[in-house]
Amino acid sequence: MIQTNKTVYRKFLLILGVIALFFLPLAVTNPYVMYVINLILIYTLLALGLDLIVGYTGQVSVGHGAFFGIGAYVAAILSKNLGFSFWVNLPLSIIVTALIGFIIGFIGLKLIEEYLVMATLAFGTIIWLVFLNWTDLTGGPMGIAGIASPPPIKIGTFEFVFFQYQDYYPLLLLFVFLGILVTRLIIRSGFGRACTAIRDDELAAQSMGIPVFKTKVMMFTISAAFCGAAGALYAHFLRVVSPETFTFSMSVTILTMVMIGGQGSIAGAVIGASILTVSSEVLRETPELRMIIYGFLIVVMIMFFPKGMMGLFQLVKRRLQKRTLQAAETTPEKEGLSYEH
Amino acid sequence: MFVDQLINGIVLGSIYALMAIGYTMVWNVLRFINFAHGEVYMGGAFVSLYLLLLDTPIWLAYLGGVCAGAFLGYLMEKVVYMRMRKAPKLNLLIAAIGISIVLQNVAQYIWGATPERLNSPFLSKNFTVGDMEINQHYVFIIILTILVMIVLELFMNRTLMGKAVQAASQDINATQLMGINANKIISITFAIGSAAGALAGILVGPVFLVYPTMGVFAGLKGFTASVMGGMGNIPGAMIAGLLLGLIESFAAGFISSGYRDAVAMVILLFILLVRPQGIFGKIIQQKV
Repeated sequence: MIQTNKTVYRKFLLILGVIALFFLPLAVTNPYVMYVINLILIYTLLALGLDLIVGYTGQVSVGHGAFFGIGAYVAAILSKNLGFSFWVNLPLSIIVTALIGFIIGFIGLKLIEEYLVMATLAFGTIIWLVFLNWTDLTGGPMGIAGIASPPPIKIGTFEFVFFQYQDYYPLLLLFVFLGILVTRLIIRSGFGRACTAIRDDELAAQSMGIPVFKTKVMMFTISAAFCGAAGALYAHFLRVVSPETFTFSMSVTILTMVMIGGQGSIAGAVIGASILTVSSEVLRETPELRMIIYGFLIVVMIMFFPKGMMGLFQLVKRRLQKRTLQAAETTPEKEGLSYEH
Repeated sequence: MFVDQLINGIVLGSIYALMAIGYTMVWNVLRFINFAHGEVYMGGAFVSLYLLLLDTPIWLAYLGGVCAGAFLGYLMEKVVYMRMRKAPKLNLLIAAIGISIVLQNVAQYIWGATPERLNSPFLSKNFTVGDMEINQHYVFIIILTILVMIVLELFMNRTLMGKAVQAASQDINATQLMGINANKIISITFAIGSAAGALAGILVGPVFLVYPTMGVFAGLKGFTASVMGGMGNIPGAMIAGLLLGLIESFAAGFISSGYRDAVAMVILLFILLVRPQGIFGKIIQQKV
């Protein structure tokens, strides 16, 4: 009884927290802080997407920055050349990135782990070079500016506009929650469990009748689609896209977020995205040392916390539990009582 | 025109071959891709540049750059990779990328981002063969690369140390059981590979200039060459490097220069799909 009460209480708190998050712009008035929070949300979506393939399926990609870029460029080009609105561009971006993700997954996932890394690296670099050189379509090194922000939504007398950072925030938050929901649904489905089985032991999974290749390609496609959605959101948020955003280092940043947060964990993706974005922004205070410290942080974190922040939390939790257990054991009367009942 | 492209291709190829040595040797003993190798290439070139500013004789400055590169590779291994032997390969990859971010930005902090030309005693001189001229520095690059390849081959096959490195490439645990200090072998591997990488950077300095991010694409291409040659195959990597340089040089004539760098990437994808064991590699059955 007590247990169920506790979980109900927790769920209630969680829902309350979620609702409270939507009202964050009331508390944060500084547009720069709002901008950083929005960036974190976009990166969270990216990290969630990459985690599906890296953390849950055990296939490493260093080309997801390219999917992010494809999503952003599709939205930008459609908005700029055809005048489509955000609500049309978003699904189209997702479809296009999923399609390309499917093709790349179909080609690359036949390879063993190390070669998949190389193949996705090559793919990412090629896509970046296309952004840079296909000047007629992508605007070349200058990129595409003047992308329209999403049109306002009218519900009754309320009108939601998405012009400023604080207006855009609820939209992003909605998509992040949607992303979390979809991730949870996927990983708890039979398909998601098949993916985890492949991650843990590909051969064993295969001998249990899991169609390994098909499952991997499907998950890769979904993972790319997440990045496509993040790309469209990014393009309409900053209203400008340029090739230097979507280089190899973007792919690496997303992967680092997943690693530092903790693979195979939704909270890890959120934490990783927050840590890296915030530290990168805070370090703007010392512009000349910024990237040095940033790189140093990455090396130190990956060396000393190989399982990321979530791994660290679990370790601390286990230590604490052990200590309380030990404390219980050292007091004999209590021990006797607890065993009897 | 054709001969010009040919010579350009061989020069580029020599550089890629030198870079590929580092990737392949590290892959051999540790089975991971040292993504910070491009920064050794950059570091060596910068140290040479700096030594030249101090009025060091040119050969000493070049040598200093190579030694600095070797030391940098050694240091990376000792400080970071050695402590991560039991970590998953993915963590090593991230650490390598972190190191590369640090090194690029340290270089930018110390020397600034503007490209600078490394001096070369041969750059302004040409050989005249018939009615065409060949830059002496290009010849210098080609001769030095061939020399390095010969010395490396001799080292690997004729010395005890080289044989230990080969043994470690086959099975590092068994090597350790035979009483060979595996950590020492790994250090030597890093030092030699990095020295070759730094030499590549120094040789390129007078032609393509020296700047903090010079190692990024050179690294990718050296890495492509090492995959082409069959990951872990040193002679294969050298030949594949030359081949890649030639292909790139001729392809650049046909397609726009912007996509020049994409050529190597397309080759990389193609090789991975069609012949993942590399042009010169053997198929190794994956053990269950």
